Amino acid sequence: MRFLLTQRTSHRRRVASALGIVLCSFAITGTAAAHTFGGYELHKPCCGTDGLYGTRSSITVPSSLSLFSPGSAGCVMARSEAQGGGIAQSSVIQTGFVLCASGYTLDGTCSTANNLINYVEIAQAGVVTCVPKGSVGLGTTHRYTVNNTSPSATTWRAYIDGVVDSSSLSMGVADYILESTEHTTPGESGSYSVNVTWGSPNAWDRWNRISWVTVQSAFVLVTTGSGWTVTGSPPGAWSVSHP
Amino acid sequence: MVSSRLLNSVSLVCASIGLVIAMALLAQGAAGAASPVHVIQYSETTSPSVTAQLDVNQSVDALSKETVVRSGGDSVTQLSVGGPPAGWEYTDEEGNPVTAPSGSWIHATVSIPAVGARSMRAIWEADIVIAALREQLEARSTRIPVLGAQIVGKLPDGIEIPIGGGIGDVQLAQDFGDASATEAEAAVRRNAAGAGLQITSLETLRPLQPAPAVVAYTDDPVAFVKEADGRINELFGGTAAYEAEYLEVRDRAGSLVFVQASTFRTGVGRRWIRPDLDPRSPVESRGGDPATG
Repeated sequence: MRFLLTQRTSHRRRVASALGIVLCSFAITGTAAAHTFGGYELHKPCCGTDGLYGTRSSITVPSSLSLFSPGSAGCVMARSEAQGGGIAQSSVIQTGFVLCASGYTLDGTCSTANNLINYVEIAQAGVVTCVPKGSVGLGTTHRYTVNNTSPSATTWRAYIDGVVDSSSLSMGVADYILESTEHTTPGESGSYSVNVTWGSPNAWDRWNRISWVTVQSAFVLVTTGSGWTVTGSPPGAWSVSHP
Repeated sequence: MVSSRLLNSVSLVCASIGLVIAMALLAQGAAGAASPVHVIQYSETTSPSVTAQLDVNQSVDALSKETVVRSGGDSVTQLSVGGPPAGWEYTDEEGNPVTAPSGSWIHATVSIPAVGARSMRAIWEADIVIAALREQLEARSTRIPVLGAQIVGKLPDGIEIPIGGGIGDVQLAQDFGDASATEAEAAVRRNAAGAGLQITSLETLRPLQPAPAVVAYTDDPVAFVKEADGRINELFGGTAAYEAEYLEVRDRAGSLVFVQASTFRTGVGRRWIRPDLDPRSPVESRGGDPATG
């Protein structure tokens, strides 16, 4: 449910890896109760003259629940996401998989029984809506996509393994696209463990309204002090883990 | 003869290897591609009796009207069945048209006072009649699969806003029990104190089975938001105890603190949290390298 990034940061550039990929890393912090993130993002201005009109990647569900555990409170998600709406970042669409601790839910109806499910979540005007898209198997890999292919460039939709969902969001070009994990109640969950892989077999792509372009470099998205670790980088596969 | 036996043995071995390879490829495919979707079931049981007493085979228009009336809400001004919304096309991820699946969409129009949290009660009423109508369409002798739903909110000045609908991969014919409104409301009232709430308004809608709608206030908004899921379960007597639940929480001054609108027949859950209590914060405008990406 918590998707809006709290960023009071600077970002510092660092040269990453032998591939010479330029990564701009920035910290994301928030209130004590704020959600935490681990992964990669792109934001405006980006990508030459291309607008951010979509994101997709393979995301592999860990083979064991011990590698995708929210701990004792809150929910943990891994998803493809787009945000827009200016400074308020009031428009969000995301799809991925989620697991909530016993007694916790995502928006009241997703993962209500400590069950691992696919989901689509949309936020507009402060109201967040989640729709469950069935259970998802451990060790399986799925391509999660959100993009805007409407002729008028005003409607975003979500796909799981290429199958379009009926939910939609009215939004033009995105301000951010993310491929990341999220924990909704990190401070109260005790020890939680996560290890999710992105980018294999389908690399992270961004949609520019004409074609999918494989992301070559991106900004690291790790909430300061959260314990999330990102290993590897686009255009290859990468993993996000905690602790 | 020996050659023939050898040939047969080789053939058998080859066939076995082929079978093993085929099974391995199938297994790999299953792991690497779409795995079977298992629908979500919130209720402990399912039962055809959920729609058995209803005339589900009457005309779709009549069924739609009857569903709105039976629910007891007053916000839904139109409920109909048809194709996808204007401008919606089934496409692949590149926007290329693909064959549309067979089925229908449900369209609802609701009167909303404003955009945002204040619209949630009306939108919930649309959610619950969409869910109830879906059950009945799927239960007809000639089944009408429901592919999607679209809600349009109509503001007092006549402006119409597409709100989106949503249909989860959720089990049909879930049985949430058939308590009377009196019984459901008595149970909710008994639980309110334990949930840290004092009820100011309570009614029970009945799209198919009871769906309580609660307005309450709390003396401790921070604690309520922090423990929202547990408080909701406490109030309603468990997770998904009813086919739909609406909870609007205010502070002592009457300001909205939290709204939850859940519909467990389609899995649509909507939540709003007062911004100063919401762990989300706005993104600060910041720069970056346009070449990145």
